[in-house]
Amino acid sequence: MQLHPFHEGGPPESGATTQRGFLRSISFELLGLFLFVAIFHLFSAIGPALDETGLLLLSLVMAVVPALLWLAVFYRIDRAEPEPKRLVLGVYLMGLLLMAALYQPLFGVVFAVESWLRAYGWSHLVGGVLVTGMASMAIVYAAVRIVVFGNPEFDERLDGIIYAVAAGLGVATVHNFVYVFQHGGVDLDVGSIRIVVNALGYGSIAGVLGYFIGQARFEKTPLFYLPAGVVLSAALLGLYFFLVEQTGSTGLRAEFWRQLLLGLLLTLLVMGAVSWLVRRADEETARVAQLAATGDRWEPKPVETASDRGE
Amino acid sequence: MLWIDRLIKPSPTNAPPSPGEFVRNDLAVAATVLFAFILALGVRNQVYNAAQYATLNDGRLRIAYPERWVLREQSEVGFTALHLASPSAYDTRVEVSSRPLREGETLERARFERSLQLASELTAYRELESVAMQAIDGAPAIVTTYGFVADPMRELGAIDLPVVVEAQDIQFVHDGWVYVISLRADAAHWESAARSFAVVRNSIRLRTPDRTASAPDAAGGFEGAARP
Repeated sequence: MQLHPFHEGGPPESGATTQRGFLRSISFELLGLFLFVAIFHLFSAIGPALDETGLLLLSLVMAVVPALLWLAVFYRIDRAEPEPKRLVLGVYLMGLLLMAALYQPLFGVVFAVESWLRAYGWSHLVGGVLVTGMASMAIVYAAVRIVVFGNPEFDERLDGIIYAVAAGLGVATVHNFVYVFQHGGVDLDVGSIRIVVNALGYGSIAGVLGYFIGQARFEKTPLFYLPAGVVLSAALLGLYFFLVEQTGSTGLRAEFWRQLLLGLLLTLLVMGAVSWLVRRADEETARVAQLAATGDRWEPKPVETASDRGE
Repeated sequence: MLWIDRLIKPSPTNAPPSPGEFVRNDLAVAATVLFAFILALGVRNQVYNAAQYATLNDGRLRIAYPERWVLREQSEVGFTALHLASPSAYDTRVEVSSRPLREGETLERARFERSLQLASELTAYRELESVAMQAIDGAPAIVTTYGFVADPMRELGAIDLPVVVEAQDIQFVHDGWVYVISLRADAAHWESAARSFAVVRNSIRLRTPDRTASAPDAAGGFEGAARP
């Protein structure tokens, strides 16, 4: 298999179609998650009918379903060259295992986050970025790097996003397990929203890091490039969960639907942005290949202004 | 070149990175994460040590308590600060009181008097341990650990189980005044309150007695050393 297909002849003709398919798949995913929440909201009355073990088991299933929905989306994405199921699953499991192994030592022992993170608004935001964000994104990076980075199947920039999202969902699954266990099984309606909000946050923001990983896989990048990607995605994750907490509670009444809307909005924005960035990066790569063939030097395209457009 | 150009096309060529650059990137990411973790520990310590101060007896003594705690019943000779977000119905707290040292009174005698007072006021009062320490300016201090049963919900008119409270009195003499700093928490949450109590203890520089100094032990009596 060709490792750098774009370096020689530019992106395949199906590139734009792939991006459209990517966004369409994300939309299906969001719809699926919305249905997931709606179903548990409609049938929340079955919760009280279950005993403790039943509720716990049902909640654990709930913790995994959003991740499985996301993973199912991968088989819709990139139909021209679908990612092998074993690799996507492998990255997901690596993210899950790394987070499961490090969760208690890191969050419970070294940082003891329960004792200080929510003490103040600023500590929640800064601590969320520096501890939860950095640890989660480091695990996403490690999972992709260990399982798939050197694999020939990792052959386009979009793959960086796909595998990073899979790793992010592994991380989200552990957070959801912890949430379920800490709450002894969760209220079905509220719990389903929280679980989806977690999956949306970790999954989509891991996609931001995935863009940087995809770039670093195929381009010479400056030393600060990947660390900047980790910092940016960690900052987004910390900010996202800070906003989730802020929007989810008004006085004593929790407004969990607002959290869900925030999660959906974030996913659409982030996935739209990284999808656009990947398309532009692929276009620039193709342009560089053409310029190299004619002996010209690459420069970035100038920003189009109103006067350029004759307005 | 704009930052967005740099983001989209970090390299002006299409040359693939070498394996050495992958390792360099790994190290850069690891260093960044490590640096962030060190910053996080700094933030954590900042939160742990965040304190407010209460001044007693015309500035004779300044005592810190955790910044998130709420001050109640403040006067010139004492105050109470509560952690209203405590996980128990019984709020973790520090109660500080002071009075002038009486003529001929010793720290040991003051402690005995305090024990009697607590035994008569508190339900199921049990003294567990008493050790000699040093407080501000190396003054001898007696730290007494005890327990009792409180019924905070009943006081509020609600029905709930009573709470076993663990408490520690730090008693010392400073500038002719006897101070009692009482740290109290639900016994089930005593350990988790340790960091908050450390803010109070550190502000009066509570420590184990210096062996080279002539600090008295509990058995030998605090009598002489406690006299102002």
